[in-house]
Amino acid sequence: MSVRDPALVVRGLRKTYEAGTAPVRALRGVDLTVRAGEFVALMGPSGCGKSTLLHLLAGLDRPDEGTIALDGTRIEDLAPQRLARLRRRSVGLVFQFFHLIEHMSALENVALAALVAGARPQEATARARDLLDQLGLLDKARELPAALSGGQRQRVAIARALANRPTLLLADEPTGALDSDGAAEVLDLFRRLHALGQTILMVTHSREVADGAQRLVRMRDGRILLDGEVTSGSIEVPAELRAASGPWARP
Amino acid sequence: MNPGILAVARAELRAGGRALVVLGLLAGVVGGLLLGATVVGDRTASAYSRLVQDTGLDDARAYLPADLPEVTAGFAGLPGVEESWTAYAWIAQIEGPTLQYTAVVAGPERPDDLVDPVIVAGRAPRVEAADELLVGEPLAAAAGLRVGDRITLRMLTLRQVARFDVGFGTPEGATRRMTVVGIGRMPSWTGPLGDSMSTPAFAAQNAGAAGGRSGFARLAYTGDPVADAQLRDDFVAALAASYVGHPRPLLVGNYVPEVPVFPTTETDPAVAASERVLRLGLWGFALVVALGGTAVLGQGLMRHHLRGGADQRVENALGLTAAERAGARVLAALAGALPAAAVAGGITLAAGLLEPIGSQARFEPEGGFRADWPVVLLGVPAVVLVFLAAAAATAAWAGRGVATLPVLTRHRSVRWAVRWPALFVGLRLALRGRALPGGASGLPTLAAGAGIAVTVAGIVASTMLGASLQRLVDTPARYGFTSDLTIADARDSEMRALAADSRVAALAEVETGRVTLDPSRSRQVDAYAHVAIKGDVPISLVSGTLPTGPGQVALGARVAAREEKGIGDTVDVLSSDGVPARLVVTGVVVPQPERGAPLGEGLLVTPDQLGQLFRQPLASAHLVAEPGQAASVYADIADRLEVHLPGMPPEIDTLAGLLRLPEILALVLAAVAVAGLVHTLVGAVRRHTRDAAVLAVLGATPGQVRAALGVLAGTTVLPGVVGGVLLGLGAGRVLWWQVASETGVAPDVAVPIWPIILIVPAVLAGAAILGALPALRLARTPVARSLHTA
Ligand SMILES: Nc1ncnc2c1ncn2[C@@H]1O[C@H](COP(=O)(O)OP(=O)(O)OP(=O)(O)O)[C@@H](O)[C@H]1O
Ligand SMILES: [Mg+2]
Repeated sequence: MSVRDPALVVRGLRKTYEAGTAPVRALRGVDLTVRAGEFVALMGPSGCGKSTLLHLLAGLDRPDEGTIALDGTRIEDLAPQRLARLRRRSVGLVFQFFHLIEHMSALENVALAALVAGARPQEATARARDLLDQLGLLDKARELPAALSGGQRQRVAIARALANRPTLLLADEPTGALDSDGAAEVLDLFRRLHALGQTILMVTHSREVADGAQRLVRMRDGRILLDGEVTSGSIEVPAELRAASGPWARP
Repeated sequence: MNPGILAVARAELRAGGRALVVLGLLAGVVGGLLLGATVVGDRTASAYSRLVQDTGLDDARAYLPADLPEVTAGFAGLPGVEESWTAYAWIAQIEGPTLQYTAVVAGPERPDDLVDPVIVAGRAPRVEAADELLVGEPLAAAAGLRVGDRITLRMLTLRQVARFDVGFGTPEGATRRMTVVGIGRMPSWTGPLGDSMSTPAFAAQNAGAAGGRSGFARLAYTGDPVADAQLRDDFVAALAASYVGHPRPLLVGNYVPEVPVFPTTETDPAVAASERVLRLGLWGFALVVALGGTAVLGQGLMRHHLRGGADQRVENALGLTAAERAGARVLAALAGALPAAAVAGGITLAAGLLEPIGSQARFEPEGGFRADWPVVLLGVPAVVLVFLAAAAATAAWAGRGVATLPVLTRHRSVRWAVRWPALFVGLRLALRGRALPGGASGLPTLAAGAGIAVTVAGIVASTMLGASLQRLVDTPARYGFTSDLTIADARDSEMRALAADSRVAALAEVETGRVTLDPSRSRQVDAYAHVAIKGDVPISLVSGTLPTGPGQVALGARVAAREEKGIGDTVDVLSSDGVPARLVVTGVVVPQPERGAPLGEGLLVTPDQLGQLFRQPLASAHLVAEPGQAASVYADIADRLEVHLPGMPPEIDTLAGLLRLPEILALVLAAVAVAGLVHTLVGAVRRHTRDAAVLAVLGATPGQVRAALGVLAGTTVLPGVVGGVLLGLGAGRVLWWQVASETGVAPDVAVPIWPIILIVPAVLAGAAILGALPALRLARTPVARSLHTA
């Protein structure tokens, strides 16, 4: 895989939830390509399907229609086992509420991801220590999550998501539960990771946070509405988008 | 009161009223089971004492010589006697195909509340009817007598009675036609009471032909054990003194003990042993129900109140104190108090329909429904109070630390030696899943673990108890019954004939005399010696060796326990012929009891030693037949000798009646254990669905997630199970030791290895199967829902 190859290619993705009385059409045909090394911010009103999209990309749920290619591998029809293995290598997930395992220290939480992926214990610990060091949390390695601040917890969660060097880092409102300092901390970390070549797809409700990304994608009602480069405070809408009626972002 | 409390209580009711009612119902069921067990336990444990009360069981009872009217006349005036009845006694043969004797007691002027059997069938004989007979239950069972039967009694003369043991030919007294009008129940139908009762009219008709007199007394007990013992000693001494100056009476001698018995103070050992088994069973049941119920109820309340943890944080911010917050929740919990009271009361009353458990039912003086009002009136409010207290405690627990930061222990890393992530994660979740802020607390987990341990211990202990009981009942040698037939009267000619009989494998003459053990305490026991005539009639040895020479003795197991004597100790005895001896204990035995003596009573000496102690010991014989020949030997000699098929002594019979109990208990406990395990397993999985989702996000395969949850669940319950097995092995040993020493048999416990090895995995497997479905459903919860990321 060369640097120019897309890390993620999504075509015609549809997802309908059959909950309660009326079916909810969460995704109504999403097309999206993320090139390797890109830092994409995904914005949109509440309920427009951002989290649903992320779950499908991570292989935690199945689309009703459409295709997803991660690193060139089609994942929509994979068996749960294969999906799980692919997830280890290719996807790191970060959530708004961290979701660290409360009974494990920061170090163990990070190493757990490597262990699940089949790393040897010493190797997993070494990698976890290394990551925590890079993220400035080595002195907190032995703390339980409850003893960390929100920003610190989210950094541990990011370290965990990075433990297996995933192709794609998916983050669902990673700053949503943090104050402005914490949010800045996390955003700064994402930018550093981006600089190192990490591909990132980040959902956010904050325009400020989105401004830290390289490209901004807007969703509404289960569809991609807008897609463009971020230029200090505004989106530079590409000419193709202005012209095209359908989804943009075809490579 | 802070009006905020009422507002919070109302809100709690609105939000969780239904859950509180359900929890109240659960508390009612648990409380009802406990109270019901108390009711049944009470009824069972009190059956004997209520029968004692209802039958006016006498405090003291003595054989009085028929030929010494002065002794009988003085009986009412003996020290301590408040009330007395001196009856006549007749020994008579009941005409029929086998040799069956009865001792009939009758006499005028019986006080209403003294020796008045409870009628279980038919009616009491009419005072003026000389031909009506009330038959005791044991005789009715042994002779197959029923109400309405007409029987013929052939009475023995006084002279024949005195020679009862050495043989007397056919009865020479009067013949009486009698009608069985009722079957009577007494705590015990032995000794001077005989085994059937007739009327004052019968006494008037036959007084001249009486074979003996029986004295029954109500003593002026004060309730002070020391004073009461003194009273009995004085009574014994005065009774003995009333014989002095008269020629030695005909009837009193080796055959009839001079020492009176004290029925109300000497509980039948058969009763005591089975009561102990029953009480242990009920205690075990109650303990398990209490612990299991507390665990489940506590967890339920805890979960209920943890759900409102955020509310408490808000209330705290609004200025409600911890006590006020808990108080509001107690007010809300009142919604559950009514159902708790109703259900507990209902179950408790319904338990009044149950008869005493097992063999104790034969002591129940009043059949049918029996409402135990004290238990209802005290127990039901107690259940409600405990429920409210539990609500308060769990609310306080859930609301603790909402204002302050939790204290966090610094975390020690495990060695990463554990290679398998599922194992590591499962272990970690199980071992650290406690005492975390807002998370599941360690208390319910601990309670559940203790509940499982006690339940498993109960299963193991009752299995051991059941196996030990079964072995005892199945092995007559364990209770001393080593012969096939016993012959009451070992005449030389008969012994020679039997020894020559090829169907007889072994024959021993058993010589018996009464000795007073530790003379200062006037405790009488039988001394036995075995003289082998043919082959070897074995003797049940519990420990040590049999006596081999003069000066040696093997004590009955009960005597050894009571006198606190072991191998190597010495005992002082005084024979009824007045010969003292000091004997060294060589072993402990279970002698085959003579004349219905309790199991483990008596002591065994060599024939030489017995010869030194007694001028003329009684002689009976124990016979071991060749396989399959016992019945034919019996048939040949039953018409001319008083021969008994040993059957089963009452102690063992009573225990045999309880054989099902440990099995039922083990089954009930197994069901409780399975329920508790399922609850714990599912609860453990439920508490960790979020962690399972995190594992899935990290790329754990569904199999790995399930394995981690499996390890988690296993680790949660395993300590309880292992601890329970160990606890049960110890408890079973102690329990059986208690029962065995109460019964007077060898106390070594039977450990049914295979059932114990199998039952625990079976219970675990049952729990795993039943818990698998809900656990798997939980494990399949969509990740998005578990992580609330939608
Ligand atoms: N498991 C589910 N069952 C039923 N409906 C669901 C489920 N998950 C999401 N939905 C619905 O699908 C739609 C899209 O939800 P989604 O979580 O993707 O929105 P979102 O863009 O992440 O919103 P927010 O910004 O509030 O997080 C919503 O209408 C939501 O109610
Ligand atoms: Mg969302």
